[in-house]
Amino acid sequence: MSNWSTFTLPFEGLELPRFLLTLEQSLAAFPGARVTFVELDAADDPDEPLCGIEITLPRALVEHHRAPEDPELPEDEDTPSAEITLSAEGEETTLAVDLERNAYVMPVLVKIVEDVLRRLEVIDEDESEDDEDAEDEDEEFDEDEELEEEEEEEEEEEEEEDELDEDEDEADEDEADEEETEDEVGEAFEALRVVAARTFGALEGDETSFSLTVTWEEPPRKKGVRVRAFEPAFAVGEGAGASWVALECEVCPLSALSPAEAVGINTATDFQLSLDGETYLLTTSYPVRALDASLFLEITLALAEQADILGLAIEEGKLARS
Amino acid sequence: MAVFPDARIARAIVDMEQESPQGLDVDIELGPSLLPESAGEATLTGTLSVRFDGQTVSLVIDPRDSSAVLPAIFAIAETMLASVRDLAAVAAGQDTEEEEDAEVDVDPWSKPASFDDLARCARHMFSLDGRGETAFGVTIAWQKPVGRTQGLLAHAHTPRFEEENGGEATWVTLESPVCPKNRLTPEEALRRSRSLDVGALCERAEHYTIVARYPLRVLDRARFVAIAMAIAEQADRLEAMLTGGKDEL
Repeated sequence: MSNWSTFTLPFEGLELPRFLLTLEQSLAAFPGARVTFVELDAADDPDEPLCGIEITLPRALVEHHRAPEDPELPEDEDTPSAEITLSAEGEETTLAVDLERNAYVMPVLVKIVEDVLRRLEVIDEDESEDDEDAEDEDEEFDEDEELEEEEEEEEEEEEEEDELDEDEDEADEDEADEEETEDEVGEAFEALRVVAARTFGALEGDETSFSLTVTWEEPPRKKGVRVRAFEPAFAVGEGAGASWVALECEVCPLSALSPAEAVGINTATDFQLSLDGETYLLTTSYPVRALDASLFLEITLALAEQADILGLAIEEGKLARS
Repeated sequence: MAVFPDARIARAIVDMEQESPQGLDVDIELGPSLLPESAGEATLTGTLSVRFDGQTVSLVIDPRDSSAVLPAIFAIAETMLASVRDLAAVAAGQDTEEEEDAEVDVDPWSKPASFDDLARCARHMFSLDGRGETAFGVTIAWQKPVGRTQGLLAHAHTPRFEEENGGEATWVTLESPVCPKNRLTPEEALRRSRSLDVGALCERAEHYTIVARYPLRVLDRARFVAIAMAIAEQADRLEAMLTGGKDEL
């Protein structure tokens, strides 16, 4: 497929807003026609941006502009569309129309493009839609059609291959991004495990959690802390990039503290109480990527200490069940 | 983008086939000065999107973007919002509030040095309801699945272990109201707290609220927004569930 008609536009660079505005103005005269997709790609070469614009055309509009010799729109084509390309290379900005891609909608697309070009003063105001001009325009659109069929076929194959490659590349890119994010999260959690093992000694646990014990010498006490990676409910299905870490520490049994008091305690403590079965836990949670080693240790020690102090106070009757 | 010379738009996609919300996704290539040191000399791409649902235009950041790019994307979004709000204030004939607000911190990795810094950042990211020396309130709004709002209060907090050492308020309490107290027994509230992802339910006057506390230094732009949204979203879901769909808080 190499049948392209190109028109040089009086633009400096892509001037996409100006072009889209002009296109919208032109489409106003074609009931039901509207721009449905715009893709600007400056990733490959920022100096030569490329923009694809898809225009959806009502079937009735396409048929209205079709001459008897024009190809007939396939019956199952309910929402035909046209595609035009805008590109800026060097000092030249070009509007290109792929004749093969737009074969079925060409008559109406020719009129739309003509109107755009007129508005941009690329063609004269008096170049109208009468037959003579239409013939000239047809010539303009047809000028590249003289390529030999063999050449066309070869290039068509090449293009199909390119398209396939592009699709594969995009899919690979998405997968790579996802894997990268998962790796990042997994690495962050593993880094916490290493820090915990170095600081607190032996750990117990599995892939998504580990438990450590904080010990104090004076007075001699110890407290277990469980560190658990989890996907928060508000980010379910959003990928591993949303992973959080919960730190949990047992405080006392339900029988030792009334729920009414426990709820009140939550207004003042640095960490929050919750009830797991018959046991009160002191917990906190962070996005895994927010916990660097020093913050992790600071929070772990503070959580263990406060759970221990709170548990002791309850045990000693300072916060007895009322 | 003019204040971020190391950023450039690499790709923009408008999909107008999807009638509502209409959307624009802009891929922004970020240079080394906007990325963490670990990224070296590489450039990375983040995405900033705009959605229009027929009534409201929303700026959208996908929290699944790499943590390396999120702070820069937030910084760009914050700069945009600040200028949009200043323009709106001028259009409404109001004096732009506090000159300091006109200057947005364009360093994506800066942590709030004070509670005041955090309040300034919140003002740019959310709708600020009120602001005092040690507290501020914002309203967070969702468009999907239905339009809902949720209040979030932030106030400076001194953790006990720093209090003993004469420390200052280096933490922040974030809380969002859930429902009147008569909707839950204390035991139910504590059991529900166990299944929350962030914070826990506690009593605040006549209401239950979700409360969570974090060190100020954790709350750079991306994290503050992620945590604030998480708390507000949980509170809103619980409110809807416990009050038969009401959206009063």
